[in-house]
Amino acid sequence: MRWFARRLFELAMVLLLVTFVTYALLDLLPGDPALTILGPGATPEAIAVVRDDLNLDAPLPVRYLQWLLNALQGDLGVSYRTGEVVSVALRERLPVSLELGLLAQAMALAIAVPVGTWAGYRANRSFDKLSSAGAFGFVAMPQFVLGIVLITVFGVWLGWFPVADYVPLSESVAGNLHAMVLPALTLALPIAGLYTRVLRADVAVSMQSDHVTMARASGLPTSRILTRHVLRGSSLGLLTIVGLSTGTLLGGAVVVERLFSLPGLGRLLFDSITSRDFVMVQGCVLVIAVFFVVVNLGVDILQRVLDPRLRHPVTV
Amino acid sequence: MKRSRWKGWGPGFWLAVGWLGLVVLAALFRDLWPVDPADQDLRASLQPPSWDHPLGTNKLGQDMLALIIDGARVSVIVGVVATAIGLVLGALLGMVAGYFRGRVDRAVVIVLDAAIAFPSLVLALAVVLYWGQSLRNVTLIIGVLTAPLFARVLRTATLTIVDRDFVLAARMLGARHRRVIGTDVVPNVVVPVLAYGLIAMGAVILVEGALSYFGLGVPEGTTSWGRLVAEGQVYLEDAPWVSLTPAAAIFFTILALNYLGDRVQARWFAGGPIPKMPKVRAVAVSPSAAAAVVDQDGPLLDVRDLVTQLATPFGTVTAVDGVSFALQRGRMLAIVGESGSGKTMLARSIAGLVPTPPAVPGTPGQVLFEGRNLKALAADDLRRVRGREIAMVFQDPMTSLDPVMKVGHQIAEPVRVHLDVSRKHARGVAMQLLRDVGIPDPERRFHQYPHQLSGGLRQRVAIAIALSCGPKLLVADEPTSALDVTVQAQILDLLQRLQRDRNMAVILITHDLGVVANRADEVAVMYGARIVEQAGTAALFAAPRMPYTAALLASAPALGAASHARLVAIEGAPPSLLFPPPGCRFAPRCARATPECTAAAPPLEGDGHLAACWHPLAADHEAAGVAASG
Repeated sequence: MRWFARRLFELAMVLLLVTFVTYALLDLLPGDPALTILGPGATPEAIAVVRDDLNLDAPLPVRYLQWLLNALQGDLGVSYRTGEVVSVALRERLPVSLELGLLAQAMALAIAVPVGTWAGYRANRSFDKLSSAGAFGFVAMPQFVLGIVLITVFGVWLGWFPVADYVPLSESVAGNLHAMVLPALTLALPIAGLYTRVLRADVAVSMQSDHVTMARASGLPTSRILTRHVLRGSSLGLLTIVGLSTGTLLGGAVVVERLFSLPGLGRLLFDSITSRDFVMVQGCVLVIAVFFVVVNLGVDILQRVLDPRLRHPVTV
Repeated sequence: MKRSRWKGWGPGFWLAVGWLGLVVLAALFRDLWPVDPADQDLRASLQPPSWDHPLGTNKLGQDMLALIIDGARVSVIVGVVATAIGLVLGALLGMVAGYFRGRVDRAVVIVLDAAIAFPSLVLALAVVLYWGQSLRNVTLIIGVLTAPLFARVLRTATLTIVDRDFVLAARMLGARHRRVIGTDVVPNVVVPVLAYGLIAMGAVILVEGALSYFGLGVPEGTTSWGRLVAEGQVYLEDAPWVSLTPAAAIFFTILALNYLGDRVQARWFAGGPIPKMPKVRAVAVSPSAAAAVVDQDGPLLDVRDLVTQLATPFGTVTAVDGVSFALQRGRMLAIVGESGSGKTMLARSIAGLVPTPPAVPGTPGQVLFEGRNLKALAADDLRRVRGREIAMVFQDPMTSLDPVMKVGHQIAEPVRVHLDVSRKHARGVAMQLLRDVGIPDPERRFHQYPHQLSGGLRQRVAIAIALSCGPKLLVADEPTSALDVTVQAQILDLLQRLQRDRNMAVILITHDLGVVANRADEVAVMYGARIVEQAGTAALFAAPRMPYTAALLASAPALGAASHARLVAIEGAPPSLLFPPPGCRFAPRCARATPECTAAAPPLEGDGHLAACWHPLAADHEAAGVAASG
């Protein structure tokens, strides 16, 4: 329980740090939010009123604290640019990014777990060499390049999947999934390459370990050795990487969301920064950071559940 | 031997180095290229690759190859400088955290977590909006963004180094922090950092490409690969080369960097060039021998001229060289030898546990278990023998149990697999076995994990696993070497009791003759992959015939001997199995050796007491006196 309390404290510190740095950074940027709200032709009087309204003349820490207190009560402010309530806009965009990220993770794991396990089990054989080359290739592929290639091949030439034609989940589940295949695959393939390499190395080492020799000496079938004795241990190493990758998913999908015109959080963030809609940026960063922190905590807890060495300290 | 430094890297390595060399050359000498990338020719707009334009042209009729060469400079500058910035910042942060630990470490970890949670795009855009778009700013941002990744790698590397004895010693002696970090920590983290640096450089080039692709990277007018991809994307359908050729340049550069990083790392951990493994041809094994009638009258195990060879990068090692012996039901045979004598390989060869490769398939010899030749069994038939009829116990119980599985389940698992019983029944069997091997409080221990048990208890669990299906033969490979002296005797007593109670044959492999004396029925001494002497335990101890056995007896501390009694060390080193000496393998270390000994290997012969020696010791030799006290 002490562990849990310390972890919560650390994660709270992470959240404070991220939001404060964002706030300070945005404050440094040129441009007057009042001007953003009112447009270029605003009178000095109107600007003064808005500045007073937003409390823009107060010192930075005071304004940050005010934002924080409001945020804790669920009030993230109103967009400078569109007048939208920030929390409402986020609630609209978040599911799109979340769906994209989870689909991508599921695809990456579906590819990496069987491929990585088999490559590690048959280390240095032809399958291992082939899959290693593939993994290297996908890790080296920039998302915008991979996306372009996938769009060209499957969207334009073959016409199997729609290009830049998002269908909301509420409209048609099948249509939505159909439109999500290419963007999710673009995100998933480089991640799958990374996972494959991590898992393959771990499994190859595990295969040499004494307890696997022991399992073989006990005459257990290969399939059982791989699933019960090798993957169970190796999944712990993979879990850390999966956690890290999942945590950065919301903020990292900007490229793909733009490439495929998906109305997700990444695009909202991009558009908000370029139009200096600082309240909206701050809200996006908060959601991204909270997601990272929650996923991190989840992974920590899961690791304790799966690894008895962490769960039961030595008591001989 | 200068050539050897360049050997063993393989063609992929040189291909990667060659490509990166080309990129760097392009960045340095782009002005020397005969085609000017700025030359526009609207009549030659969007031409496919041809002799005049090897990679085609873009909308303005500019030569794509010249543009790509022009764009290499941005990638190289950003790649090198940003990586260096990230490395310096990250190294400072990571090494300080790893070295000082405690609160400093925790604070740094919070900062690193925050940096990773922070969407990098916000920082990049903020800098571009505030300071303007320029190569310098782009390089700076990417460098700062890379720092947390370096910090993570260096923190982990430092944490492991700081734990090592020499660093602890330096700190204990009162060396200053700066000095310890400078002289002890830095040199040890250089290679992992170098390897990671190459991979990070790939990531840096990738980020630059992405920023330029969004128009947030280098300013308008500067050619960069990411910008070229973005500009060409509109013509993807009609002129894919405009976009795909710069994309390929980015791809190959990152691929080359990743590959080099990986190779440097692999080579570092392997401690030198990794020679190519020789090809091993698999030999098909006919499963017909499995049908042979089970022989109930003969010996339980009859090993005949068994040979096991391993293909290593340095040549073929003959780890078991023509070993023959027989073992009756319920008897205990001890196989004694120094480390490297081949005794462990012999044990694993009997159970068919040497994987191919590295084992060379099709080596001669038979392992007849109840008359069936295990060497000729199909893999699945052999699997059914292992665990059920032949079981093994290994040396180190710290590593031979699965760390993430309850010990009770580990005992029940072979029962479930081999005997096809219900989960409940297997559980009952496991519980009874825990009692049989003398583990107190079995109900509680059943649900514990290996790390919660002491070494002795863990070895008892390993024995319980081995016994779970009631094997006829137990092969115990140095079962007590990793245990405390006080626990050793308990485990050996347990093995002996189980052997008698269950009428189970045991092969006990050990380097310690003292272990063998009162327990084994028979002893076989191994030297240089061969059995050099084999006899009943009493006969062997009373009158060894082979000088090596005598020397081994003389070098073993006798339990009853006075503490000042002299121990005799055997001169010289055990023979290399890669290049074994000719003739008798002990001859180079033997005081009685004559030219005859190196001419031909002596056969293992004798009446009941077998010895392989051209000049065996007489029964009344003084060595007998030394051994008798033991």
